[in-house]
Amino acid sequence: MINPKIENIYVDKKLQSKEICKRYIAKFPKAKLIPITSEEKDEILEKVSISKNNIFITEAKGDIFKPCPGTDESHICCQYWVINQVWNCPLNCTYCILQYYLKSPMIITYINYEKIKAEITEKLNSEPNRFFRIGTGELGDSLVYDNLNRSAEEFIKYFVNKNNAIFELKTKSDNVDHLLNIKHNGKVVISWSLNPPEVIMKEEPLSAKLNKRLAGVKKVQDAGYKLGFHFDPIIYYDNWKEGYSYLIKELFKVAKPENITWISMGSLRYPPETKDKIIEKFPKTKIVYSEMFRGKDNKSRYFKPLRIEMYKYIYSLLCKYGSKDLFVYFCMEDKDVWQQVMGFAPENNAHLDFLFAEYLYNKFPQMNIPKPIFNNYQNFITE
Amino acid sequence: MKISLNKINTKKNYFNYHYWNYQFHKLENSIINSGINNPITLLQKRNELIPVHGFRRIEIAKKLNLSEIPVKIYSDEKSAEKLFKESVLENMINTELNIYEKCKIIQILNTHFSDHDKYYWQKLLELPLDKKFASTINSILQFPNEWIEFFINKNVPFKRIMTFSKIKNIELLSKLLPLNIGLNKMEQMFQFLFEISQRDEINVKSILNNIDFEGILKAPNLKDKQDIVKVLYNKLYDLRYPLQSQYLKIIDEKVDKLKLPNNIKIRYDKTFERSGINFNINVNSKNDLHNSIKWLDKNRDKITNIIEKE
Repeated sequence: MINPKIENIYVDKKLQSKEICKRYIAKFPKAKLIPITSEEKDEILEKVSISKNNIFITEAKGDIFKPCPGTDESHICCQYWVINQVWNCPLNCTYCILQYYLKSPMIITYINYEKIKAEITEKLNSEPNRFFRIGTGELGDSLVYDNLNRSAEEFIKYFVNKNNAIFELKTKSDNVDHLLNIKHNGKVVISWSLNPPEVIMKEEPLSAKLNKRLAGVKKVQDAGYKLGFHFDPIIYYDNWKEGYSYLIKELFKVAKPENITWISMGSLRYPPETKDKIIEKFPKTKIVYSEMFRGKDNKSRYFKPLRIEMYKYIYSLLCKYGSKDLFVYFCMEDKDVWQQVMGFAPENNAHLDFLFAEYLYNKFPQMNIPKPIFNNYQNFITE
Repeated sequence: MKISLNKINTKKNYFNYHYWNYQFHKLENSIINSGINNPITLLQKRNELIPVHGFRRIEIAKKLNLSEIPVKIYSDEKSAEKLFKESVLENMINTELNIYEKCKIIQILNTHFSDHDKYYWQKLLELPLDKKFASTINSILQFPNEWIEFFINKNVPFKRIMTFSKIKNIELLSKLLPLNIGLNKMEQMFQFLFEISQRDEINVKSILNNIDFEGILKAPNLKDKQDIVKVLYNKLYDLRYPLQSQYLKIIDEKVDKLKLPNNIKIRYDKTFERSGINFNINVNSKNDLHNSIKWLDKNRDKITNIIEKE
């Protein structure tokens, strides 16, 4: 991974003595530490030029724990829950819509963990028979700065004793060394977003190379963490079959199927208005010139028969080199795609949520997950 | 005061932003009848008299061989900017500036009066304020005349011209202009060309060769301009979306083989996002209904074959 640089560390004045500030200064000695008060915050941030080389350490006022927004009801979503504790990401992947729709001019890290944990506890207690999948990688990479933020440790320690939840850290980095000695009690999934080396080189140039990510996989697997993988976004290019075949063979040289909680597939998609912004920001990328059309949820997606072909191919590789017993699901696809690729489709979002819980309940009995009951899950609606 | 035309250095016309002599004849008639009433503004620079305002009147005066014309001469270098801006404002009051003129005004301001209020003028001229549009302004000014006229005639907004400005060597496409293509279709064709060139890393000339652009324009069976446009558009579409085009051809062939009765039409989502096929059956009598059901039943297998297109 190319080491991102931080130039300015803005910090809520009352938090300036926190360890996190010292860690950032130690890592980036040339960076300026700029304490600001809540009153002057908005005015100062408005004047800051948009840069991911700036970070703002602060406390969240509103809700941080939320249902994953997913997409509209024409598609099946998995009822995942997100902790939006980090906003923005320094990795600059060409396809990432965060850089086009997050209004924040910098990376924001919220560190009032007790408030966030209280939000989560309230939800977990309100539905004790439901099994929650919860992660931090929705609005930023969970681990890219985590050796400095140390947020993962806060949450891992919190989830250790929670029977009705599993916590996921999602990354494209190899920044895992600081996690290896934390007691996690098998309640934590460390997952990687994966793509073939040529896609990483062209579209994810600041993220960790494939071999580095796989080295990270090996480290956390040896430390007893559960694994997750996200083939998302799957990118179409001339030699995509060779690329994804190589990727999956390499993956299963390292990852043991018995440690894998879930694997997602999702093809490149973005709101159509993002296209011009991608071209402007990354004039060399070709991803926007594929055959893409507006889907039922108004996002641009690959031509459906092409998506299905790619999914079928990748799914067959996962079964061949991994295992037929893996839990593979789609992120934001419709029932027709599920049916054509997997031979079945969840009835609705709640059904998919149930299928996750049922799979994990059977595969990992030591997690003491409450036995999932299908009818109950029909009432567990994530909105 | 009046001076002789030959004392004015009309070759130095760097303040001239006019492209379109749209009121030339009206102005010419007015000068023939009443002479030049409004003095031409000149800037004295060393020994030269350079026009700042009144370029069209100078042109007409030349044409009419007028010996002397009324002028106002300013010698202060600083007043050039003021005079130029006054000239723009006066023209804005009298007439609507076209897109070329607006871009030219911005270029003159940027070149000669670099510390002017850029945002004010871009806003006044209804041009986007974003810095990224600067390159589009320059490319519009370099378009061949026939394309500038196309944009002016169609009153194309600045942002939409950006699609056209992405294509280098736009003159290669000038043969499209006599085909009277509407703005939307023309814009789509340019978008296809741009995207194909980016995707395949080839230039527009190669794409035009691939689709046999010249051949289509001269094809004896395509006498109607609309037919030519349709063929060109479809060829570009097929090149931009080859996989989808291939699928659509297969379905079209299957639908053709069905030999649909006149009262039955088939519709389907061409992106295949929505699966299934819509049958639109127009029934006016019991007999129509009976025949339609009979036809559907008879063609059950063929129809199933189309539904399972994917």
